[in-house]
Amino acid sequence: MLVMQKELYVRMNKALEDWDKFFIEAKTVVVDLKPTTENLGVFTKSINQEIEPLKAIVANIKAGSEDLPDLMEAATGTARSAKETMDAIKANPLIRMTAPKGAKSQTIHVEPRTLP
Amino acid sequence: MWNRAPFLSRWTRVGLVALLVGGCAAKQDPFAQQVKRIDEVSLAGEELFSRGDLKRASRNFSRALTMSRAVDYPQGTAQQLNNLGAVALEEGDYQKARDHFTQAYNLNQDRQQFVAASINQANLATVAQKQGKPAEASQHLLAAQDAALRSRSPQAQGRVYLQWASFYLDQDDPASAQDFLTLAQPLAATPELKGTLYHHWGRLSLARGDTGQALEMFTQALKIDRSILDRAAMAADLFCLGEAYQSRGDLPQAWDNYVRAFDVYAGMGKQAQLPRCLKRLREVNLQGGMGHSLERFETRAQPSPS
Repeated sequence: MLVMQKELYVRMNKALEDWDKFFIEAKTVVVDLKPTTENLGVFTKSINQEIEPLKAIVANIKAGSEDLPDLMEAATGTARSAKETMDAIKANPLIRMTAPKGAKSQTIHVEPRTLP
Repeated sequence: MWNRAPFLSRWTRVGLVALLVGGCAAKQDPFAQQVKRIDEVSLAGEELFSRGDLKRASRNFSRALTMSRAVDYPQGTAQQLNNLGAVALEEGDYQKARDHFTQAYNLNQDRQQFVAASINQANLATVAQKQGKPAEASQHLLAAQDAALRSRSPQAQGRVYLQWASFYLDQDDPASAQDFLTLAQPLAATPELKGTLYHHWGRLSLARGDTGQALEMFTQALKIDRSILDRAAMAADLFCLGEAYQSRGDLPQAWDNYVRAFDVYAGMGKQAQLPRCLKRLREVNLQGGMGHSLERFETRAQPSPS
């Protein structure tokens, strides 16, 4: 019985020594972590600084896209008026008489020689 | 010394005044604009048709047909019906082709569009010829001739005479074919008709055993058909050149021309013509002991699994 109690004390002692070692190591880790967490704030701040121009770019794109329909409309209008101008110039009798005639669609004649 | 400046200045002023007097005429009315659009769609279809892209050509003609009907443009409707018939004829769907050509003819006849009506009847004759009905074909050719005469268009008349010549050559009647070729000769003024005329003179010469004359005629036809990039006609010329060289016993030249005909037909996707060319290539290869590989032609001539 006594022998068993002694062995129990030895084991408990060993366990307590292991605990001590664990706490010492934990303390070291915490000490090491502290400056890192302090640096984290600086790091976050610099990310925020980097994001700022990005935000500005996105805002510019957004503002630009709002102008896009107007721009497209203006371009279409320009193209249409250019076509109308060209049509009107082409309709001028002097130009119409001298300009080469464009191809006209035809009623297709299928020649027997082209068939199997 | 003659001073150029006042001279140029005067003429520039005259030009400007002329432009101002001419002015910019009023733009086309909306109906004319729509007709122009239909014309553009149809023209694109014709280009696709000449390249052998029948599916896309058919899509264009169908669209132009819908557009023509939507604005009550019977001339366009008849034209697109005819062109859809041409696609069906190329695809070998004779019933569909006949229906389309007949509808087009009825519209053209009602509106006294005799040139177009003549083409419709000539196409109906081709359908009958392809179906092995020569009596029916000759009836359609008579109707085509009648319409062509009523149109008073030399081009329309020349076209019908050339088709008569082709018809008689198919019927092994060279004397009648020659009569019609002689009639067509002064009327064939366009490159299309000239190419056809030389081609049929070549066929006639070949039928009479005059291979030298046949070669000359087919070469002329090929030159003209190439100048207008009529691919189907070019392939027909090349095939006939092959036949003429084969008849003369010039087998390397025959081989060369059959290969060229094969490639043009293959490029157009005219699958039905490939076995015909392949058969001739086999013959020439064997007769001349050429030892050419036929693998490329055999692979291409096989019908694609669908």
